Amino acid sequence: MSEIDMSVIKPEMMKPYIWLQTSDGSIQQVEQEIAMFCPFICQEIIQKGTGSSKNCAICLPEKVSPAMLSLVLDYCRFHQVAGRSNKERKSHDEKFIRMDTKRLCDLTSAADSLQLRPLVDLTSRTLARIIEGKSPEEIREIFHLPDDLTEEEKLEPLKNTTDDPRIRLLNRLYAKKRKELKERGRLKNVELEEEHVDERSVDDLLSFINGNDGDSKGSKTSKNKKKNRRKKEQKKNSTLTEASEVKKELSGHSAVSDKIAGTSNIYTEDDTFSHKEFDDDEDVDDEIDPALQAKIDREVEDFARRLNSDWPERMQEFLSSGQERKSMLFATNGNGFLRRNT
Amino acid sequence: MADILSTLPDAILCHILSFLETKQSVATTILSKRWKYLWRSVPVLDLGRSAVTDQNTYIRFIDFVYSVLLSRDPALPIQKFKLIFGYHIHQIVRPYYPMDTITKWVDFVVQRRVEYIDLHVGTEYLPKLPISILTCSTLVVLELVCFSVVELFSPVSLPSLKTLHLDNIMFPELRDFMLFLVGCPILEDLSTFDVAFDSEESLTCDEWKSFCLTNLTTADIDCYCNHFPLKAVHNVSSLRLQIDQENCRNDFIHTFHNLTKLDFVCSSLHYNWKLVIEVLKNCPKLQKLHLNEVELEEGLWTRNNDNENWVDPDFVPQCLSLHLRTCYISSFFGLHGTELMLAKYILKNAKVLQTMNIDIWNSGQPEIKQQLSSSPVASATCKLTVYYVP
Repeated sequence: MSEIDMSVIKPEMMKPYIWLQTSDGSIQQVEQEIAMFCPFICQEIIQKGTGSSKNCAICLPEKVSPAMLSLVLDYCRFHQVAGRSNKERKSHDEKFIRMDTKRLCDLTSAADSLQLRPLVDLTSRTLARIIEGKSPEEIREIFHLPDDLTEEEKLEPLKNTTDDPRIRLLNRLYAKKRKELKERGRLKNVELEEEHVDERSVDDLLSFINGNDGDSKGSKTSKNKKKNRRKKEQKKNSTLTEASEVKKELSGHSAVSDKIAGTSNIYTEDDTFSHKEFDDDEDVDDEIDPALQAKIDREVEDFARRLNSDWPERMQEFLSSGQERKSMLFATNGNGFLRRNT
Repeated sequence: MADILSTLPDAILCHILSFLETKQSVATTILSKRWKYLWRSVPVLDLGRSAVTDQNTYIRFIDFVYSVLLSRDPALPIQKFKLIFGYHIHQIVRPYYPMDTITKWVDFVVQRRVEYIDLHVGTEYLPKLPISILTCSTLVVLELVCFSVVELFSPVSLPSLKTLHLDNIMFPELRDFMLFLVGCPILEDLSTFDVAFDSEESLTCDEWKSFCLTNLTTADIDCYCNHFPLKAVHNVSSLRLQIDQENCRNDFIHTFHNLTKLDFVCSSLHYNWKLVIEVLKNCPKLQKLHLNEVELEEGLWTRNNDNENWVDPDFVPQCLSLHLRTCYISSFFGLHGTELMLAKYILKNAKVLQTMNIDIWNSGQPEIKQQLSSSPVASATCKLTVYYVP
C-alpha cells in the first residue's frame, strides 16, 4: 500500500489539489494552483512536503478561519489568472473589499499570516481610508478601541519611557511651556513679533539635527549647567517661547499657542546661550514651585480638555487652510508651463 | 465589545498608518495606550499638500515636521517622503527660505535610506533641487515637480531607481539631463513634462547618439517644449508621446522595436498626420494606438499649411498590416478632411484590427459617422464605434 502511495506522492507538483487545515481543525481540499499563490502555503509544500493528502494537511496559522480562508482563496482565484488587465484587477478588488470592518480586520490578519502581501496591502489601504479624516472618538467607536489614556497622557504624547534624549528634550520644552502658561497668567504682555524667537528655536533644532545627532548629551550638560542656570533666570521668557513653538504644532491647538506666542522676550544675540539651553536637563523640574504646580495643573487640564476635543478640528483646520491655497501651488513661475490634457 | 484591531500585530498597524498623511497618523497617538507610540514607527513622512500663507503657518509647519523627525528613533529607516509645498515668496521673508529647510529634510531622509521621494515646491521661481537626492543609492521612485538642477559636478548615481517622473524641471544644458539619465541604469519608467534647458546646445552630440535606457519599459515623453533624444527610450514597450511636427528634426524618430502600446498626443491630427504615419512606420509591432489632440493655442486647428491635403503614404506601415488590434481616436474634430482620411486609412489597412473607437467633438457633423461606417475595412472582425461627445 505504501509503495502505491509513494508513486502517487512523487509527482506531487502535478497534483491538482492540496489539503489545508484551518484554525478550527477542519480540513479541506483546495486547488493547488490557487493555494500556491500564498507564500506560506508554497513554503509548506516545498520545504516540508505537506499538503498532499488528508493525513498530512498543511496546518494554517491560527488566524486563518474557514471563512477567512474562503475569502483569501477567492482573492487568489481571481488574481492568479495571468491575462487580466490592471483595470480589471482594480475593479475586482474594489468590489471584493466591501465588507464590514471586523471582517476586514480578520482578513488582514489572515492575509498577513499567510504572507500574502498584495492582499495585506489592499486591506491595509482600505482600513487607512476608514481612519482617514475621522476624529479620535469616531475611530475608537469603529474599532472598539479602549479609551485608556489619561488626560495627561493625551496631553504629553511624547512621554519618555525609553529615556531617549530627544524625548527628554521635548518634555523639557513642554515643561517650560507649562511654566510659561503660569507666567502668562501673571504678566500682561504685548504680543511681539514671533520671528525673533522662532529663529532661535528652529536654529537650535537645526543644529540639533545636524550637529548633535548621536552626540552624548551628558558631556554638554555638565559643562554648561551653571552657565545655563544663571542665564535661565534672565532669559526665561525667550526660552519658554522656544518650547511653545515646538509644542505648538504637536498640540495643534492654535488658541493656546497664540497665547504663548505673545511674550515680552528680550531677544539676545547670545548664540551660546540658546545653543546650550537644550542641554540643561535637570534644572527645570527643580524650579517649578509645588505651590504653583496646582495652578499649572489646572491650566494643563483645561488645555487637555480643549485639546482632546479640538485636536481633530485643529488638524482639519491646518489641512483645510492648505486646501484653500491649493491654487497657489500652480502659480506660474518664470517659465509658465502648460498643464497636460489628460 | 473587544478591540477588533487587537489581533493585528503592531507592524500591520504601522503599515496601515503608512497610507495616511503624517498629520493624521501622529494624531492617532491619543487613541489608546496601544496607539500612543505606533506613529513613531511608521516609515513614511507624508506631509501632503502644505501651502503656507504667512509666517505663522510656516513656522508651525516646519516645527511640526522637526518634532516628528525628532520623535522617531533615528535608526529607523524612512521609506517614503512626500511633500507638496506651496508659498509666495513675499509671504515668507524669514527666518529660513523654505528650500533651506526642505533641503535639510531631504538630506535627513536620504541618510535614512529613503526609497520613494515625491517633491513639489510651488513658488514664483524654480528652486534648486537638493543634490543629496542625486546620489541616493536606495531611491527607487523619484517624482519631482518644479525644480532647477544646478550644474552637475559630481556624477548622478541612482543605482536603484526604477521610476522617474520629472515635471517642470530646468537643466543647464541637455547634456546635464542626459548625465542624469545615465546615472539611472535600471530605470524602467520615465516620464517627462516640460523639461527645459537654460541653453540650447548642439543637439547632435555624438556621445548621446547611441545612449539608450535599456531597461526602460514605459515612457511618457513631452517633446513639445524641448528636444528630447528619443533614441534613449527606443526600447520601451509602452510610450506616450507629446509631439508636434515642428519639434521634429532629422533622424528624430527612431525605430521602437518593442513598442506595443502608443499614446500619441499632438496639437492637431490635421497638422500632424504625416508625423503620425512616420511614427507608425517606426513601430513595427504596435498593437494599441491612441491618437489624441490637445488644443494648446486657440485657432491652431485653423492654421493653414501645406499638410492640408492628404496623400496616401508610399507604403503601408508594418504594424497596420500585421499587429494593430486597437485604435482609439479620442479627439476627432472633423474640421479638416485629413483627419477623416487618416481614420479611413487605418481602417482600410489594419488587417487584424479588432476595435476602432472614435470620439467626435463636433456634433455639427453627423455625416462623419456615416462616412466612417461606410468606408472599406480591412479586418473582418473590426468593431467600429463612433461616439459624439456632447
